[in-house]
Amino acid sequence: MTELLHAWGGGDLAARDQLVAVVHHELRRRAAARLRRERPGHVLQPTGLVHEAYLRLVGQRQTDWRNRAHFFALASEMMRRILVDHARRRHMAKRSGGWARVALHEEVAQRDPPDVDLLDLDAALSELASFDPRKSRVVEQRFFGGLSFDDSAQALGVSRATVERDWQLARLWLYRRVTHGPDCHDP
Amino acid sequence: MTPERWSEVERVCRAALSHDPPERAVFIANACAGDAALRREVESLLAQEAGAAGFMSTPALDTEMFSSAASFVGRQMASYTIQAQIGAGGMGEVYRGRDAKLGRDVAIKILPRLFSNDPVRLARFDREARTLATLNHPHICAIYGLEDVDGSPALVLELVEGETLAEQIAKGPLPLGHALTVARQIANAIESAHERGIIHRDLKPANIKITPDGIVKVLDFGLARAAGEGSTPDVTDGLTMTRDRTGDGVVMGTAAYMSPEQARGQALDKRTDIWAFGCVLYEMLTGHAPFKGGTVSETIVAVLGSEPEWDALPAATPARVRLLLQRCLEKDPKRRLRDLGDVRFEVPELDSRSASRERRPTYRAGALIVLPLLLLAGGAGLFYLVKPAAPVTSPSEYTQLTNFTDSATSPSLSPDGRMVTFKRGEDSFLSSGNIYVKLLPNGESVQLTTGAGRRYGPVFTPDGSRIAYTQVAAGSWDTWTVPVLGGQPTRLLPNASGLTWIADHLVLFSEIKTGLHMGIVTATEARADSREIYIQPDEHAMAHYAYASPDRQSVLVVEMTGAHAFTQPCRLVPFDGRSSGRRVGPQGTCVAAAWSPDGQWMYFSAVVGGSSHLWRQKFPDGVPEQITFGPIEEEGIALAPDGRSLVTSVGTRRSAIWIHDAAGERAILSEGHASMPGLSRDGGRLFYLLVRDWWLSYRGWVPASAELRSLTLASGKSDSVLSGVSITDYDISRDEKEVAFTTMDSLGASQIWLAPLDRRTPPREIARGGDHVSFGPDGELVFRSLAENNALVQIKKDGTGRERITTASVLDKFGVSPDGEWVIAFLPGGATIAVPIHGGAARRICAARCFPTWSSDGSFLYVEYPGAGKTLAIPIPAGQSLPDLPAAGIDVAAGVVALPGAWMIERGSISPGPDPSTYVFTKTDLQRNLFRIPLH
Repeated sequence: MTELLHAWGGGDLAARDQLVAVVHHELRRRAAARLRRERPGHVLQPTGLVHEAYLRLVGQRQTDWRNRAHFFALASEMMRRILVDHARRRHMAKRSGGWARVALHEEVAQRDPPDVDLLDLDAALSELASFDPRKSRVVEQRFFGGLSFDDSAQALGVSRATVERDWQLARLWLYRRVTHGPDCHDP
Repeated sequence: MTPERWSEVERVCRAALSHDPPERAVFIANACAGDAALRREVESLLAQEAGAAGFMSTPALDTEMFSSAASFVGRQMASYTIQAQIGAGGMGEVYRGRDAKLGRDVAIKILPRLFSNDPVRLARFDREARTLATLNHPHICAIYGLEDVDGSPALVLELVEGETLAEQIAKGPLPLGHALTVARQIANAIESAHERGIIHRDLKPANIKITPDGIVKVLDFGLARAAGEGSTPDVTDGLTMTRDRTGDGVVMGTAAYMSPEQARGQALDKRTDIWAFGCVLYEMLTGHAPFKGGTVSETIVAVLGSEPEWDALPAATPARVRLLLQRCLEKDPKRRLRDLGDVRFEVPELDSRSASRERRPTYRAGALIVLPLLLLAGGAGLFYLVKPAAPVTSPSEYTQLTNFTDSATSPSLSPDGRMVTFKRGEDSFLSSGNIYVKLLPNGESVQLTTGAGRRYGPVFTPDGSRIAYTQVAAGSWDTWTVPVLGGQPTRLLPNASGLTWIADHLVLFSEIKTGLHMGIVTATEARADSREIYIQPDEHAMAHYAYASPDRQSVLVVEMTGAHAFTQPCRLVPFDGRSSGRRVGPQGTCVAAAWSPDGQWMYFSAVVGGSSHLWRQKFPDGVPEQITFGPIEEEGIALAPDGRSLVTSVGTRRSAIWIHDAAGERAILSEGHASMPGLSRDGGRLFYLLVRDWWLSYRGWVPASAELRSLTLASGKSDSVLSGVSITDYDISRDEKEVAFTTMDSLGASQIWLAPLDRRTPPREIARGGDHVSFGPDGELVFRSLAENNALVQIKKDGTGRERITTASVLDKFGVSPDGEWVIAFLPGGATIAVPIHGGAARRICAARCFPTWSSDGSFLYVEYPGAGKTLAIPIPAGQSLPDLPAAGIDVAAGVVALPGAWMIERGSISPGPDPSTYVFTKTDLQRNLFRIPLH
């Protein structure tokens, strides 16, 4: 793992691909286990799956902060994909399963359950990336990857204050976007 | 949003956040001086602060975990055990629960985790609880309590078993009796909520459940807000519309049940629920929502601009229910039904046989098989058009320019934009009317022409000193000019109509080749260097208006088909004439067009789904967008030279049917647009068309899609004669046992049909390619054959024995005399004649166009003077079919004609009754004025 991280850091794209495969597998496995858990609301780790995966795959002794930051950034991106996929499957399952038949409330049997959630957020985030990629990354790392401001600052090569400001404004924009939809005035 | 723009937004936001809230507003105002859009964006972002406070504060993984179906199952919450998830929606997830204390099952609705720290959502949830708690009604889902689970608030609700109405409708339309029973219970629920000042705001079949015992429960008052609370309706609210989760773009959410005022984001009151109730009732009866579109925008376009397909209602639908639906689905809330309290939903005894889903009335089934093509192009359902992303204009910004109690149409602006010229007359085309000019904005309207005469299409000369217009007289279509300051009109060009200037001394106009074949040409003012730009192959087609693009490369053409009505979209043709171009603009009837001064936009005035509105389309390949909406209609377009506003004619067109008899005059029918009334021989029954869609023709506005109905005068009860069929014209046989009618399919082809009035058998198609049908001498049908050079033709009722009465082309055909000997026709040369069906010499009725009708016993001929709103009643001597008239015919231009025994009725379009003092007529209520509409 450490070699792969080094190779990638040195510009080896094949190394990145290998890294992605390993990290993705690890994250998926752990995320699936979490999502299957019977009793939610408890025992949430202060640091997220990304940290667990890092510890497992790379180990505590790895001290190169740049490798760590790169890993976190990459893993956050993957977490976003894993969670959004999960949310999408969940929605589709609801739509097609025997579930709809016992539905008693809401517009389940209708075309579209209008909840605002990860799918909306994911779309909004992609939109944000089209004109401010860094803010989109900050949100990805913080919200999906569970990174701290400091981790993000390292991964993005900016100051902690910048990340904090990005987070603040991105949250306003995203909140408006997911609660008010796309028609909200863009100048 | 561009990165550059965004960094500007960010810079101001950032700086604003460093100011304390009280100083912020001032700071933003200064920082965004002169850039209102920037200011709006910054303010809108900063306004999210409170709402966004808890947003994304829980990591995504936990959020998703909580969203998983199993997440709360098995949990305890006060005395409740959560058992299984049964639904999910914008306001939360719904679980089945068990109340151990009371030993009953409940529904538990939990706010989604992603927003559990969101004060806005929390407040709304709390409000929902309080609102619901005040409602205690057998048909409203009850609230038992408000609890908390893991910090997420949860509503404990009455558990309602059974199917939703949406699920029931998905299997097919509900039987009439069942639908009305359900409707009554919904109405009770809504009425009860309204009495407490609570509006539902999101009533739809998915929010209505029917228990196995048949009890209706209205669910989800989650959107309900106390009406007086200063509600802030929001079309883009995630609760009413949302993107499709499967990723294939925008889908229809609840837009289909949204009232027009809701779609416009206007303030709402209980009438929005009345609208939704109408939608639900319609859907129960037909199996589909009244306003449909593939996307939210298309659905909204339909909600705002089109009428439901009334013909889709089952034939057995009682007239009272039809009326109720029409009153609920009035687009203008002011005209909509005010409350449901007094509505009765009994199923009439007579109709109970149709209360079984399997047994639709056989007539209807027959009609469906025989007439698959009759849902016309103009009807609802063909909207593939979109609403602009941002409103282009709104009625509150319109400025009124004229103030007539009648009708001002066809505006055109002077080159400097400081004067407007227009026609004052019933319609923008061949109605009689005069040309006016007015200095903007507050000058007087000055009349430039005088006397009766068919004038249209006024435009300024390039120097702005004269106004040119088309005048149609005795079959010739000429361009005249008159000085703006007043004076004698002079003829500029013969055989030139719809003329406009494209440069100094260079004009574009319509020219008749032969007969009626009219195409677009360009030439100098002196008709030198004439060159053909566009001419249709059909010899009876006429291209009446042409508008050159600012770069003079393209021309927008408004044309008539051989049926002599504007029936189709506009056409975009190349100025060099190398091709006949293609259709552009909305799918409907285009009556006028224009270009933006920069040539980027094409504007259209078009009738789509029965309403006349303005549209625009990006040149050359944009999508047509409707830019004006609502019950008030617009027609005609004059773009201001700066392209920032346009002048159009705004108003309403309604028509009612009145009767004149010994008791005086009174309205007998005033719902909707009623047209072409005809009294039965005994005067006890009125046939008429209820018009859904229109075309502009030689006769003015004529039905493009209408329902034939009959009204029993004594009882006031009206009925559909040919349920499910949209027709354009009809004639009732002399024995009043049959009806002949015409239809037009989506391709513009016309068909002739015959049907018994007692509906014993479905309509039969007798002929194609014909229109203006009437019953002939021995029960044959007489019509105009579009396929045979517009000749008059007769055919036996079994479809055989087709033969021509005349070979000459006629412009229009009217009725047949009661003895079956004569048929009235209007010739291209400008005379109205009676043609002997069994051979012989034709007789002239009028020197120009007029509309003659016989009384049913043949004792009178009524001759209507076109556009003048008067009719000459002429007695026919015994033993004759026609009165004695001057050889040249009646000179309608001369006004009253001295004929023995004749008298003038001060009404137009009359239909005679059993005696000379009884007749019915249509009274058109027409008020249209010029308005300036700003464009954004």
